[in-house]
Amino acid sequence: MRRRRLLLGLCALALATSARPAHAQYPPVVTRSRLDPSRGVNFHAILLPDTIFVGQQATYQIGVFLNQEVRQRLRRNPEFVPPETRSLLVYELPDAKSPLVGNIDGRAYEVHVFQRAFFALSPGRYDVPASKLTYALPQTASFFSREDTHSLRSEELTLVVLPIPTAGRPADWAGAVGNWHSRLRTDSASGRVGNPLVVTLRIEGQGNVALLPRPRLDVPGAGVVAADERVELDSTPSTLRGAKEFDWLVTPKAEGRLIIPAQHFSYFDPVARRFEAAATSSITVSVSAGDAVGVDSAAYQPLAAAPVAAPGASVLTIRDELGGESSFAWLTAPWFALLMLLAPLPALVGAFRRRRPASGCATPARPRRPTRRRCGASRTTPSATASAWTSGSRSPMACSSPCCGTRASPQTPRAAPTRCCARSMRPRSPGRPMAPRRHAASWPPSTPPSTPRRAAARRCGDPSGCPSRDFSSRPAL
Amino acid sequence: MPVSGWARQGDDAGRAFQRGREAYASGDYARAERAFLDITRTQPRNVTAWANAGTAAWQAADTARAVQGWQRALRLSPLDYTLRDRLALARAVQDRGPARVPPVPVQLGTVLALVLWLAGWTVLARRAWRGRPVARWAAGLTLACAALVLAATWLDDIDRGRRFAVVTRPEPLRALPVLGADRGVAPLTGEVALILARQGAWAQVRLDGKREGWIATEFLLPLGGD
Repeated sequence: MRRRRLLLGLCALALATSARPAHAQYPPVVTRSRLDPSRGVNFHAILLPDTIFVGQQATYQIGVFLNQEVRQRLRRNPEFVPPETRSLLVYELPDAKSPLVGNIDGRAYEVHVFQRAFFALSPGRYDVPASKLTYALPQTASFFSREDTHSLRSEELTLVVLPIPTAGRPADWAGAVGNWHSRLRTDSASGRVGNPLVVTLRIEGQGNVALLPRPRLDVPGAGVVAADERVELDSTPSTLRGAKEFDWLVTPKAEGRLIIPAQHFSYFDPVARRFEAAATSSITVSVSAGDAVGVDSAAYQPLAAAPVAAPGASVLTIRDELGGESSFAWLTAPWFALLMLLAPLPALVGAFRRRRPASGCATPARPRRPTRRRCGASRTTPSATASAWTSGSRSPMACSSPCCGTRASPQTPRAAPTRCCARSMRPRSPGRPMAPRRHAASWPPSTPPSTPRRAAARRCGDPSGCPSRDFSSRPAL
Repeated sequence: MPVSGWARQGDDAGRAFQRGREAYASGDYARAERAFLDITRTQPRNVTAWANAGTAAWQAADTARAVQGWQRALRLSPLDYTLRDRLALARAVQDRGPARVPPVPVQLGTVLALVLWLAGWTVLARRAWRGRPVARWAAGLTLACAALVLAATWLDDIDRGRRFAVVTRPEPLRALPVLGADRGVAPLTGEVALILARQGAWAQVRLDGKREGWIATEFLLPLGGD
């Protein structure tokens, strides 16, 4: 009977402890998001709280809601791309080991929750862009079915960061935000003059522990030098917490009782919205006589607090005249780019004229390209060749290109077809002898040809000649 | 009216300069530094204002601001050896690595490139109009000028200091841009860092001696951006 009563009591206790409201077990993104039941996948983000103080944590939660049908069709996990937040310190918070499964609005969902901790270092308004979720679903139930890729975006959120209030701010507050406790300890309860002790202040609690500033330690009768710092981060599923230890090397200057005073570490509690102080108790260390060597206490001044300009040092002089502004290199000046672009133009124009000789000095009646008829005419009969040569417009072996006319000469008939001519002539038909060979046999023509310069002058219609068109000796560009 | 605006800016700068001088003479170095920095807001390329701001910061025991002022002045006037002497006062090395400013005039590379380009194309134009070949010469000229422009761009990048910053606190460099990452070496206050990348409130920096790591941007003072 006793055993039965004990069993009943244990059951009642278990029921009582488990009788918390169901929604308290779920992250806010699950309880606050509005789901669209028509969609197989819902993707929502939430920022809690959305208004914080500088240095306070805001938790960014992402919820991926998969209904039962989609969950069964998914072959691989969806890909989640977190938002890229600028000017915010971001810490990954551990995700739940297994997804949440339950009914929302009468539908079965599997919910995956991802979390991040945001910290702002300065007041203002920060936009948190949307997260992106990509997943693929097969088109049919077949294993070999193709997949359709879907993409979802979460809500874009805004974080408002308030400055730390100035009312009630302690004079020794150095920027710590959170909820902290502190403890002071030394590595030894006794020491000797000149032998440094390690004094450690451990501050632990909730908040961004890495941002905790080093407090100031003053020990009367001892030299103090700042030493190491250690950070222990402990990210529980929803908040960032941990401990930070600050070491000092404290060197007693005289024997007796060295009292390391109690420390008051001021911080701002963003939840209570007021300044608090984490206090420690003082520590007393008994100091015995040291070595015979004297200790120069000045050498143990903390470097960080030492003034850069030593007292009594000569004051640097400043400049008496306010000069004008200097200029940077002209690389980005528009006129520089313009000059660089315009400089090659004259040379390019010159080179272009060299490459296109017929376009500048040709008579209006002259065709630009040689024709087969003209070239053929010059090849058919010696008389036609001679008349063409007399007119000064044709080489007996050449086409109508002006460069050919200036190139050809009676003395060097075989060398007449220059590159320009060869380019303009078409391939001769098979079985038809090449005309210039026959002409070469009847050389010279009845009327002696004029000099190339004169011939060029005739073509130009300018008695002074057209020296600029005398391209015969110019190599190509 | 722009002209009156410039005149007003000049008057303001003159008054701020006078204020800074008086504050410096009276030993109020912090106020003098603020006055000189006020000038740099309207005249961001004023060598005198930056140099005096650096000197006032040094006297006010603000090493990082002092290095910032002198470095910015030196990058505007690389041949000013008095600024190099001032920078040598800082514990952090200022003549090696990212802190080094080559003693080369700001416009040297640009002027050389421009003169070579114009002269070269003038000669080439003459050749082209005489019917001589210019292609090879043009290619050579373009390559030479491109090399000079690249050198000038490199110098200009240093002078503008857009990717450089001064470390304000000997915070250890992190292996990754998170506070829980492994901590590496701690730079000296006033050390000049080359910023390789930025990610949120973190910057990946390289210091003298190929020391690299991430540091919170709140511990950096920019050397560029006017």
